[in-house]
Amino acid sequence: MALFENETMNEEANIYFDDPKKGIELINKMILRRGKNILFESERLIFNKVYQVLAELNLENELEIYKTLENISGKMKELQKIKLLEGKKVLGIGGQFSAGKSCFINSITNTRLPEGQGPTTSIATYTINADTQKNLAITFNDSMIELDAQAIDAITHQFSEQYQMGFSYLIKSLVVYTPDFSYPGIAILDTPGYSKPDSSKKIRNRDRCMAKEQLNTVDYLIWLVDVENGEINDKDLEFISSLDVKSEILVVFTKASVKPKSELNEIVQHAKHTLASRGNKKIYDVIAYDSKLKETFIGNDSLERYLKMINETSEDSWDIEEQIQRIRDQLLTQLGTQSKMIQTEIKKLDAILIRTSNIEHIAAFVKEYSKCKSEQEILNKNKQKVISVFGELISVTSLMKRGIK
Amino acid sequence: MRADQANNVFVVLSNVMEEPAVKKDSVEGLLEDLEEIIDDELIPVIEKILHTQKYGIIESVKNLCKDISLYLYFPELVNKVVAGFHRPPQKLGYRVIWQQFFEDTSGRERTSVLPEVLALADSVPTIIHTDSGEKQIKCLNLADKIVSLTENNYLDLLRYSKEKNIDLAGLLFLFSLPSHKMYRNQSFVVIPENMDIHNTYSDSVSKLIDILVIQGKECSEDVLKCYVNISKVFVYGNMVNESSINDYCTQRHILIEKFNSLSEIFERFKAQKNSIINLGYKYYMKNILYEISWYLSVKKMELEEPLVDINDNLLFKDDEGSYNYLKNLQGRYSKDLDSTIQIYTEYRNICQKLIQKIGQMQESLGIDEDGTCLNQHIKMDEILLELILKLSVMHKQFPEPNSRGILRNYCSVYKQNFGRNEVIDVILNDFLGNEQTKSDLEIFRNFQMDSIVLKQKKLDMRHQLSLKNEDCAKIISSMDVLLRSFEKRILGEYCIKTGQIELAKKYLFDALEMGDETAGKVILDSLNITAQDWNLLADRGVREAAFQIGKELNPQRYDECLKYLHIAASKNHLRAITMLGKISYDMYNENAEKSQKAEEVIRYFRTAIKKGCEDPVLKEAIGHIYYDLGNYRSAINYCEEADTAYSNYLLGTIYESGLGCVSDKKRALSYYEKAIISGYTAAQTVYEGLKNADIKQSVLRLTPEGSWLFKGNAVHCTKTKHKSNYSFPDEEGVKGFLDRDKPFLVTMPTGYFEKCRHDIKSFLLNKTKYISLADYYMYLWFKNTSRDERKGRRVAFIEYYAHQMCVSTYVVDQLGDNYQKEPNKADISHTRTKKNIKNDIMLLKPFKKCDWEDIMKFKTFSAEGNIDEKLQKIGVKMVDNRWEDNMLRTDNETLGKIIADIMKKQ
Repeated sequence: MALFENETMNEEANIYFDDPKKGIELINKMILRRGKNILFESERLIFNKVYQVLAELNLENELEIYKTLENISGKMKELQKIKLLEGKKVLGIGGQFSAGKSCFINSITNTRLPEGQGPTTSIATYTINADTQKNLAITFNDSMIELDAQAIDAITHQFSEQYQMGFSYLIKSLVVYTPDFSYPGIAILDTPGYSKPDSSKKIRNRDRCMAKEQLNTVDYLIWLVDVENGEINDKDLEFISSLDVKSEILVVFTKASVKPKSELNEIVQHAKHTLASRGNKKIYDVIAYDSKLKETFIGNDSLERYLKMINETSEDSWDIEEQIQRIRDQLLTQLGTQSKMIQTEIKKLDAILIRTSNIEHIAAFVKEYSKCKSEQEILNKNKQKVISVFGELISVTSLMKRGIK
Repeated sequence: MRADQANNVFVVLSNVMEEPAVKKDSVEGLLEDLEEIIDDELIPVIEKILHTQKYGIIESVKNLCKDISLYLYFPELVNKVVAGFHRPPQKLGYRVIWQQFFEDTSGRERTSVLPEVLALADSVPTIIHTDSGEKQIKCLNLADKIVSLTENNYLDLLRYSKEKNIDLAGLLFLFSLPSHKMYRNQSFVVIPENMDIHNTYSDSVSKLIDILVIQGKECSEDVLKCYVNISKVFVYGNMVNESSINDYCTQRHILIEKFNSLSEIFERFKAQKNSIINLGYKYYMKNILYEISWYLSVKKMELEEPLVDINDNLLFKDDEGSYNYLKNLQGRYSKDLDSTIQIYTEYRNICQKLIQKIGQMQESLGIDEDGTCLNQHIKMDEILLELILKLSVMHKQFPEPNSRGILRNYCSVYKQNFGRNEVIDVILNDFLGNEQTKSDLEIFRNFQMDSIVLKQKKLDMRHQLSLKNEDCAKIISSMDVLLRSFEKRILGEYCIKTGQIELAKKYLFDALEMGDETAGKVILDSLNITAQDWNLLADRGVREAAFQIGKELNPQRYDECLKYLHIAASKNHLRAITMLGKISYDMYNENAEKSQKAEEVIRYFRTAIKKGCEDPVLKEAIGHIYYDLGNYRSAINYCEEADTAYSNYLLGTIYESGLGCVSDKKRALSYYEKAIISGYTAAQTVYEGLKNADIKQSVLRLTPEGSWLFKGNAVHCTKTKHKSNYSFPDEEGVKGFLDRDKPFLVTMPTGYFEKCRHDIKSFLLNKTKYISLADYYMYLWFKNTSRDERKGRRVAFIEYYAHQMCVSTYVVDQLGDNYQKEPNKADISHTRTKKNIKNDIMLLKPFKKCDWEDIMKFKTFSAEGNIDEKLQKIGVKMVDNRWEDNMLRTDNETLGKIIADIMKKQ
């Protein structure tokens, strides 16, 4: 079943548009506020506690940890998304505006997402394998509403075109369930492109930030480049380098059919070289592909292998809990190292205090000694604090997990 | 629904759903810049700082941006007294407000247009402000965009939202309505009952409010707490918890006025003339940001303190290990200090950037740099004062070229707005280091404000302000922050006084943990503590505890005990010092590491004596060690003061042998007697021996005057008349005498020996022992001086005989362990013609190239009584010549050893 059943449907035939009552209902559904979410509240509280503890520790990579925690906190706020994506690896599709993302996604998911420069592209859209066709929208206040194809069309096209109504601030993300996409372990994420050519510097920065924020939460990444560009340019490189993605990235030159194979080969080789010499990310492969023909020109079956690999590595993991535990362990290790250092220091001072007989000099050592002893005590206390506050955090997350399930 | 009506709904909705296309307005631009500085610069710097509130500070700064953005979006709020209508009961409240400000404005009868619909949105806060002719209704939508609406649009929106159940709070943050009936200098904000967390601006909106209007039964402490900046509350209707609210308001300096109805309140507003400057955001921002600068200043102080200690200690080099450790420590502290200073600089620059941006925003709203009319804003008083206090600490630690000027400036702004000259003067004088007047201090002491920074300042100045512990405890318990160590200690002490022992224990141990040693003493004195606590106290340098553990000297943990004794001793614990001295003395007596232990014993015991220990054994031990070291003078002093059996015995031996003094048999005998009487029986034998002994003297000495002395008596000798008419012993005669009486040792002035005939010389050297007086004196001087005194010295001996002078010089090495005679031969000058002894000396060969100043640097001796006076007259410092006499009294055996030693040196 195709996502947009009636492909020839003209825009006037949209029921949400034609029947204002339905249209208003649709809008109403999206802007309806929910009551206070207790879990959400406790999540904020516990994060504040975590930061409080963090502020008292002397850490090497505090900024990194702070950012990771902010990231987790952000993820946790998108409760619904967690539920939807559980057990799946998120494969982000990134690239500059003209890179042909929607087309590429349609090609690998066998669906027909709306294409073009409309505001859809400013709403993050996940495509997920399911038995039946279904579309969900997650709203700004974390409600989840089911939308049929016409509703999506209305939101993404008619309303905005006719009335300039903007929905991108009301809808955080769209999720498209479709049996046509055959990898149950993968959630494809279509992100807004990061540079509209006509926008100001500020808005470019904002788009960039949004795209980056979203791409930072992905597990895998396919980066698209229009083959007409002929190369991976500085903007691409800069953006890819700034991402947090840990796994290998597949780089795809799209619209491959417009160039002869020999030229494609050259472009791919050149790109490989550029990425190897100037990039800082692991690259799975660089291929040339044509979305319309669904054909790989250079790179054999890399795309299929890449998708298969992701699909197979997917597992039922509560990834957030793991991340939190990882941070906790990191903190404890650092505290452990500090504790050891202080131990050594105390031992040294012990020896000096036993040996030195000039009591006027000892005073300085005694001061340092008592400071070390205090620090050791504080470290122990902090260790307990870290254990307890992260324990709380983990229990809140698992509570959320159960709540969602 | 009719199609056109439906379209109308969409049009109306689409109006408010418009997204900002390009943010080119300066307002948003400024806000974004601010956010960028916070995210990209402030946060990375703050990361490096160990401040418990730092994330709170970031949040505060971000919130502040949000607060300011409201003024930027709604400039109609600027410089207005903002009255907040808190959750008016829906029907009455909205209707009344609507009637008051909007009815009959355009000839349209609103109430008939909206018969059932409430005229204000009941889920979106609404600003009502003076209509300055533009009649523009505005709203801020969820995309942070200001959208303008026509009156009809607005009313339609409200109506549709009612009819179609559209939740406006899901689309909008704020409405702003102009009314030409609105009072000048004021703006109202109607705050809906169900404004909730989804409204990003809910906190900022409540911060806008200067005067809160509230219905009596709604009024509670919890509600009032939400409005942090209010200076007045207007209440209408009956209040429920009147007394508790009154208390709360008094405490916060909030005025309550009561009214019967809303209309009365409107009348009251009508009469209100004052306006307000509510954009002192630069001050707000500074106050928040300087929290960290303040912290860094204190940290800098804390780092500098131990560095001074360490640097002092580094001047002495005791043993390699501890020296290196100190060196290392010094490195670490200096590094910390440097990085603190660097972070401060970085942080300061970012602060300046942020503050500058805020300044730009204020300017864009037409507000002056530093508004002067701040005094209506309740918090500004506190903020400005805190700012001054923080600045006074910051500028002391990190002075800037115009620190004084900057601070003075703030002070005068404060005085202009809030008066309180004395309070400000105390702070300023404290910063400048000026003397304070009593009356100012008294006023400062009594000045109350709910500001942590002020309270901490008062506590810091507690001695100056003569605050009692009880007063301090009261201040401290009213502070809701992380307490400093001495504050905890004061609380602990106060708790002991009031019998809250458990609490006291907690506070005191906390204080101790934070490095407050006095807390340790209080714990020891006033609390029952466990064995574990003893160790804790000792580890923190509480001397009594350290001594208690150390004094056991448990052999199983001997080292640990020693460590604690050292800790106690370093904190001037007299008994610990004495005990350590005794341990070293025991080891000294067991011949373990003798020279080191000797030094230790002397050091410990001397310190103990200096600190008032009167145990005579200490002096006896020092005397004993000095005796062993050959420093007899000091030995005599200490032994005499000790006056114990053993010290008396030592004195006996000293005087018997004339060690470092004139031998005095009588004195020796009396000391021996004393020793025997007070129980040192070992003295008995020596005592007997001395009593009967005949002092053997067999030294032949030629005096500078030219007489031969043997066994202390003059010996007859043929003399040859010298050409200088000065009679001098005949060499032949000497020869005969030597043959006959066989003296053990012959001494004579160096020059004379040099002049002797060759055969006499070799005769002297073969038949008996000969040393020059100079060599002998040098030897004795060397033996009787401390290393420090003699190291690197040049010593000259001037011998004067038969009107001729002879000088010998010696040089001691840099360590003070050895000396050598300098190769320059003595020169003799005939001084008959030269009267000036100074010139004579300068003519002597070893001094020939010296200035008089250089010569004065020599340690000088003379071998003749006559010349001493002359030398003294010209400023040459003399060392007394009593040793010469000693030599005559030294028994042959000792003398032999001395001579052998001297020969070895040569």
